[in-house]
Amino acid sequence: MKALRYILPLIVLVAIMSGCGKEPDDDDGTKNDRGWVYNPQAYTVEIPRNFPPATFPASNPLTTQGVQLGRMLFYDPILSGDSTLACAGCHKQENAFSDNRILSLGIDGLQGKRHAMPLFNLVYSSRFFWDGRATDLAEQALIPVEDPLEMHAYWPENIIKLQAHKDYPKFFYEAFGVEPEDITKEHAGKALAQFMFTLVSGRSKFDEAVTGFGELTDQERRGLELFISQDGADCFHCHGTPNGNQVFQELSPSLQFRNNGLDSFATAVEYVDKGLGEATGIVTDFGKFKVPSLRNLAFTAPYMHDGRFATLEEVVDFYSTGVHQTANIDAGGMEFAFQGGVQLTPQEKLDLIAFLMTLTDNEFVTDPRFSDPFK
Amino acid sequence: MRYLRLLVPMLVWVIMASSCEKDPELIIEPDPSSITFNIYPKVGNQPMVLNQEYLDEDSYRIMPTLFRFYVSHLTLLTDSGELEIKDVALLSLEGLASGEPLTIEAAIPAGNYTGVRFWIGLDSAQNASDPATYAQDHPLSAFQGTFWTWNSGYRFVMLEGYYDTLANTPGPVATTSFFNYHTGLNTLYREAVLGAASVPFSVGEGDSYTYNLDLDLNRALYGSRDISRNMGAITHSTSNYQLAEDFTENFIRAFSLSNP
Repeated sequence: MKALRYILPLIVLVAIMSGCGKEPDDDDGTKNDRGWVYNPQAYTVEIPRNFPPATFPASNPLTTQGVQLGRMLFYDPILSGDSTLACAGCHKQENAFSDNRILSLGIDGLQGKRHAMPLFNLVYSSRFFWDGRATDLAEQALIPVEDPLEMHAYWPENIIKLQAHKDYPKFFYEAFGVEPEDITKEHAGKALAQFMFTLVSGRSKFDEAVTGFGELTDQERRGLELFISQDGADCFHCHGTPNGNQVFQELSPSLQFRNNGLDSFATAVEYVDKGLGEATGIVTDFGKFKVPSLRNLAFTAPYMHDGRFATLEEVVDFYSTGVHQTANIDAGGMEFAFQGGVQLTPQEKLDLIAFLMTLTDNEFVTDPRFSDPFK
Repeated sequence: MRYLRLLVPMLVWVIMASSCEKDPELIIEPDPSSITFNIYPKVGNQPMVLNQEYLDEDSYRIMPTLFRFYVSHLTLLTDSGELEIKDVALLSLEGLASGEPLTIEAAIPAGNYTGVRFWIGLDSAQNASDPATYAQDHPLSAFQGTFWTWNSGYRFVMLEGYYDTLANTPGPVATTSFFNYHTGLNTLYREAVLGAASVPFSVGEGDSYTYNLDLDLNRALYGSRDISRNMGAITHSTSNYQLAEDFTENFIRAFSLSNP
């Protein structure tokens, strides 16, 4: 009888543990033979309250471990062919993850084809690169690694380097639950995408103003009026409206790409850089490029897909009087092309630039969450 | 002891049975009835797709590059009243293959219906929505690229493209000349004029009914008001309002029963 006093609770305990469908993973996660633990913790990206709801891809849920791995891969030159150039080499935090060079230099000293795009608020984009050839950020992240003009590496070799690294195999296991021999470039792409998704910029003076925590000056307000006025600078047709929502870039997938009349061609086939047309093959897409965000312009010079304008003044001059009514000129937003542009006065140009500078997010370019983890 | 020999297995069974999640009860419900509205975009009798040239009614080359519009308050008519089945839908030709329709689907009760009605654009409440509050895939989300400014709300119809400025011009359409019809504003919110396109129909229990309509670009450009050449090629409603109104009046009459 005495023995039964102990046996009975034991039987009950065993029954409870074995009676239901098995849940091998408990709160401590899964531990492999090496003692590494796979127990990913969901990572929540702080979305500014004047931004629209963000939908992150279900195929790549953000985790603390995945974001941290992505951050390391982003800053580690290990992914380049000669292990000298990281993603961050051309996407520098101080430049809002763009490059201050007109065209970035790859590991072989060759120039890239287009200006390095800034990286932030990417959850609101559905096509990446100036020509939109990637539709998934995890897919996008893989491409510059093998580009001969950029990191000029070979993914199978990169995987071998990562597998042989003293730390990365463990980090991949912690992020994705994969053993070293099962690490793929897709895992690396997902990790890089997770980190890039965390790069949210929404702490500018303008954001403070629209959320009631600050005010624009009179000049900045005049610039804003010009921005949203069809009879003013007419910026909003392509760059969205500042109703606290569009993050100053056109978000609709079909409208993300435009031809703004930078060059003058009578027919579309004359475009040397066909932009979106290279990705789609559609002739009316020749010469269209992704409409960039106007946030953080203070850090992202030079401007345009080819970095042809060194200053914001040059950009505003172009839209004022330098627009060409070229083949494939944007039918939705460049209606003043016939007269060379929107014809701003010198004062209006100053006001517009003053407003654009309110979109500067100084915290973003110094945020330690986005900085080099190896320093 | 004997008592315990029985008690222990019973106790184990009770614990096992109660600690597992119960299977939900299986409830078989009949499939709901449904309706699919197919709207076939055309230029005259040709299927219309984006980025393709057409010769319009006046023999001008025309190439639409963007075409999207809101349908709101899609309603079925019955002998006893009306039944709204969709409050808002955004239809777009992007990605549409030649001959494919724009579609709106909805679950409906089985029954007899005397016709349909819907509006082009958004009612004043919908038009005053804040696009920032909607998820990306919602028709009123900022991501749809239809929201304009806080003054005028959403663009109801967006039709953009290129056209030749002279009739019977040889060669491909000049993509340096463009048209751009953006209608918006509450004053341009109109019910579609369906006339003979609104026909009675019956839907049985669990059946799917298909309602086919054509949308003819020629009728939008050369309808009761000829807007194609003589009023300029650009309107944002706040500018060149008359053109926007004339285009709207044509557009709401551009639907007809489909003749595939």
